[in-house]
Amino acid sequence: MLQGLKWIGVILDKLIETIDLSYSYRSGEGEAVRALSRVNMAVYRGEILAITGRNGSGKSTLARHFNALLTPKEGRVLVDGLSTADKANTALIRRKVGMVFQNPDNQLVSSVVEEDVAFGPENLGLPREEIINRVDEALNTMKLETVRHENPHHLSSGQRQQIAIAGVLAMKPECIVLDEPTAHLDPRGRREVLQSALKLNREEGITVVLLTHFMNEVIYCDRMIVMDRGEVRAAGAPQEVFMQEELIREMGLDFPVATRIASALRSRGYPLPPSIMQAEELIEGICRLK
Amino acid sequence: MELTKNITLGVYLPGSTSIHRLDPRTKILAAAILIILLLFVRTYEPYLLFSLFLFAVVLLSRIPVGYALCGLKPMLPVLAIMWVFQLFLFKTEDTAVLFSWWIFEATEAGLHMGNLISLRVLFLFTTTTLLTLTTSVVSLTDGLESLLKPLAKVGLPTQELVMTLVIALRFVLILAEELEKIVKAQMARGVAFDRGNFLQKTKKLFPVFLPLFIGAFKRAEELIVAMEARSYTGGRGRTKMKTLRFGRVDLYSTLATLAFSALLVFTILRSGPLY
Amino acid sequence: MPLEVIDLCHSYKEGTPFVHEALQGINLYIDDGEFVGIIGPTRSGKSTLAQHFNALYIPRRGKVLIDGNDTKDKNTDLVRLRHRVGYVFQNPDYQLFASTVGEDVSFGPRRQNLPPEEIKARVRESLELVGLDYEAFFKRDIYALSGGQKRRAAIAGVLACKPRILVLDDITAGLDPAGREEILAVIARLHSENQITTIFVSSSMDDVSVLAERIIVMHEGRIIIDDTTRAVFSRADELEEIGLELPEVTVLVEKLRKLGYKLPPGLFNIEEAQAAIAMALDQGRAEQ
Repeated sequence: MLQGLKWIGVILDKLIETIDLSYSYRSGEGEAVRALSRVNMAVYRGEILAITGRNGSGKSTLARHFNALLTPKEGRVLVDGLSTADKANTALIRRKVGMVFQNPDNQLVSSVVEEDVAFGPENLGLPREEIINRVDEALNTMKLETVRHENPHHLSSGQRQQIAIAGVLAMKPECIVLDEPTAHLDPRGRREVLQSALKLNREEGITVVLLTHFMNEVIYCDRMIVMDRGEVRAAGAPQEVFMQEELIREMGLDFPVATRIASALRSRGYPLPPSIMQAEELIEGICRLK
Repeated sequence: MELTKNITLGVYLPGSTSIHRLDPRTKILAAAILIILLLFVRTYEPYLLFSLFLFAVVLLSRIPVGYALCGLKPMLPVLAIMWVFQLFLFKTEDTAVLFSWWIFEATEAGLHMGNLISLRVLFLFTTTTLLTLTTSVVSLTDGLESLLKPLAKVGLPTQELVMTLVIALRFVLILAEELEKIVKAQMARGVAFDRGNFLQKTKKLFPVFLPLFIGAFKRAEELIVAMEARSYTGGRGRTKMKTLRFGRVDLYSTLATLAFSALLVFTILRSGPLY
Repeated sequence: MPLEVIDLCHSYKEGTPFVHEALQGINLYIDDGEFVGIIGPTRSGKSTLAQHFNALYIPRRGKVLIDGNDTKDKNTDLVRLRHRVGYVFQNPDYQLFASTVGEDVSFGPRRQNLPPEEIKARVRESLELVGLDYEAFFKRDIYALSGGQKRRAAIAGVLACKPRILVLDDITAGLDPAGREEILAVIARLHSENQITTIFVSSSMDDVSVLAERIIVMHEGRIIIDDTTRAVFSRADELEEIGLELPEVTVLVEKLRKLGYKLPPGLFNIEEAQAAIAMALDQGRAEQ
C-alpha cells in the first residue's frame, strides 16, 4: 500500500523497532549459538514487509521478538513505543501484534472452526456480543462462513491456515506476523494465503510482516529484509534489493522469474528496466519495446 | 497401514442432533454418574441395561453404530492380556478349576472376573467416547470449568487443569498420526511391522516410542506458543462466546439419566455380587 | 524393474463417517529408468498411490506388481521389496531415527544382516552419492544438520538399501531456494548416473517440470493426464481448472502468446523461455 511519496510520508512512523537486538540460545551440546546479532530494523505502520533468508538465518527468532514470545536480553525491542522486556507490557503488545505460524495443525485449539476463531477474543476478556461480532467479521473477511461449524481437521491445509489467520484477525491487531505460513501448503493454498495477506494490508489497513522463502511472494511486498546468520544483510524495496545480484546469490536466494527473463533479454540488447519483478511488469516492458 | 482409522476417543463428529445440542454439563454429569455406577457392577445383568442405554444415545445422536464401536478395536489386545491374567490368577476358595496348564490353573471365578473387568473397561471407554464424539472441545472445556467452579473457589487452578485435559484428549489423534508416520518410515527401510506374531510385533514397536514422544513434545510446545501468542495466559479474565444454558431438554435428559441410574442401582443391588 | 498398477482403488476410514475415496481405479505402467513426476493438488491421492509402490498399503481392490511380483501375494517378500523400492518421505524428521548420520544411513543394511565391511562400503557410497562427505558427516548429529542436509541424509539412508526404484514424496517442501536447488541437483545426478527409476511426487509443478520426462496428473483419486512433460504443460487450462498452479514461466509465456507473440506452447524451462522470447523479439525486429 506504500508507493512513492506516500511512503516517505509514513517513513518515521515505526510500529516495531529493534535496537541492537542480540539473542543466543544453548544448543543440544551446551554451546551458545548466536541466533541474532545486533539487529537494527523497523516495521513501519501500514506496510507489508517481507523477511527472507535461508533456513536458520534467524528470521523466526527475530519475528518471535515482535510480540514478546521472546524477550531481549541484549538490546531492545519497541512495539508502538512499548518495550517488550517489560512484563507489564506483554498483554498489550500481544493485542497489537498477532502471529500466525508455519504449521496450521499445531496452532488450532478447537475442533470447531468458529470456536477456534473465538479463542483469541475470549482470552482478551471481551463481552460476548463483541466476540460474536468479531468472529463473524473475521470469518467473513477470510471467506470461511460456509465452514464455520466444521471440524478444521477435515478441511484442507490451506483452509486451516486461513482459519489460523481469522483467529488472529478477530483479535483486531495492528500488525500480523506470518511466520512462513505457506511452507506446508500446495501452490494453490500458497497463493490463497498470499492473497489474504495482501487483502489484510490493502483493505483492512493492517501492517503485515511475511516471513517467506518464496520470491514470488516477496515481490508483492512494499519492502524486504534479507537475513543471514543472525544479521540483517539488506533492506529496502524489493526492486532495489534484487538489483544487488552478488548479494542475492550469496544469501542463497532466487531471483523472481520475471527478473531473470528480463535480465537475459537485457544482455541481448533489449532495453528493459532493471526494476522488473512481476510478470505484468515484464509483459508491459516487452510490449513497449515495439 | 492406517492407524488413525479406529481412533474415536477425542474425535468430535459435528452434528445438530438433540444430543449434540445438550448443555455440555448435562452430558458430562450423565457420563460421570454412569462411570461411577460402572465401578459397582459385579454381575452381567446391569451391562445388558447399560448397553440399551448407550445404544439409545448412539441412535439419538445419529452416530453410525459401527463407528461408535470401531474405537474399541485397538483396545482388544490389551483387554485380551488382562482377561488371560484374571483367568489364571484370580481365585476364590471354593471355585471350580476349569483346566490347568503347567503351574497355572484357570478357574471359574477367574473366568467371570476376566469377563467383568473387560466389560467394565469397554463400557467405560464407550461412554467417554460418546461424550467426546458429540461434544466439541470448547464446549467440553466450558462444561467442565463450570462444574468445577466450587473447586476453583478453594484455590484449585481448575481452568488450567481442564485445558490440560482437553489438550491431552486432542493429542490422542495427533499421537496416532505421528505413530503412523514413524512406523511407515521404518517399514520403508525394512522393519517388518506387518509380519510376525503378536509378541514380535510388540517388540518392534519399542524403538518407535522415542521419536514418537519427541515429535509429540515438539508439537505440544508449538501449540503452547501459538496459544500464548493469542493472549492465552491461563483461565483468568477469559470470557466466552457461547454461554451455557441449562434448558428444558437438559432437565428431561437429566431426569431420564437419573431414572435409568436408579434402575441400574436396583439391578445391581438385587443381583448381588457374583464374587 | 518395471512397476505396474492395475485397477487400484483405496479408501481411507472405510466404514466411518469420514470415509474418503482416495484412489478410484488407477492403471499405470512405469518402465525401467524412467523419471516420472506425479502431481496433483492436496488430497488428490498422489501420496496414497505412491505408498502402494513399496507395499506400505496393500491393495484391497486392484493390484500392484513390482517386477512382476504382486504386493498382495503372501509369498512376496515385502522387506526385500521395500529395499528394492526406496521411499523418501516429505518430512525427514520421521525418516531419520538414529542419532548420528552414519548410524541412520546404515540402518537399512544392518537390517539385512550384511557383513560389516559391506555395510561400511554402502554407507560411504550412499553418502557420497548425495554429496555428503563421509569423513565429515559420518559422526555428525542428526540435529546439527540443515534442512537440505537432512533431506540428503534421508535419501542416503534409502540408497544404502540399493533400490532400483526411488519414490520421492514432496521432498522439497519447506526448503529454502538454495536447499531446494541442492536436492534437485542430487536427484538429477542419481537418475542420470545410476539409472535409478525415479518417481517424484509433488504438488509443485515448478519442481516436477525441471526433472521429469513424463508427468502423471492426478485429481480426486484418478489419473487425468499421463503424458510427456511438454505435452502436459501445453494443456494449461485443464491444469488450472483442477486447482494446479502452472509454473510461473509457463504462465508468463502463455500471456505473451495470447498477446500475439510467436512462442511455442508448453514452455516451462526458464532458459528455453528466455531463448524463445528473445527469438520472437528478434524476428519482430527483423520484420520491421
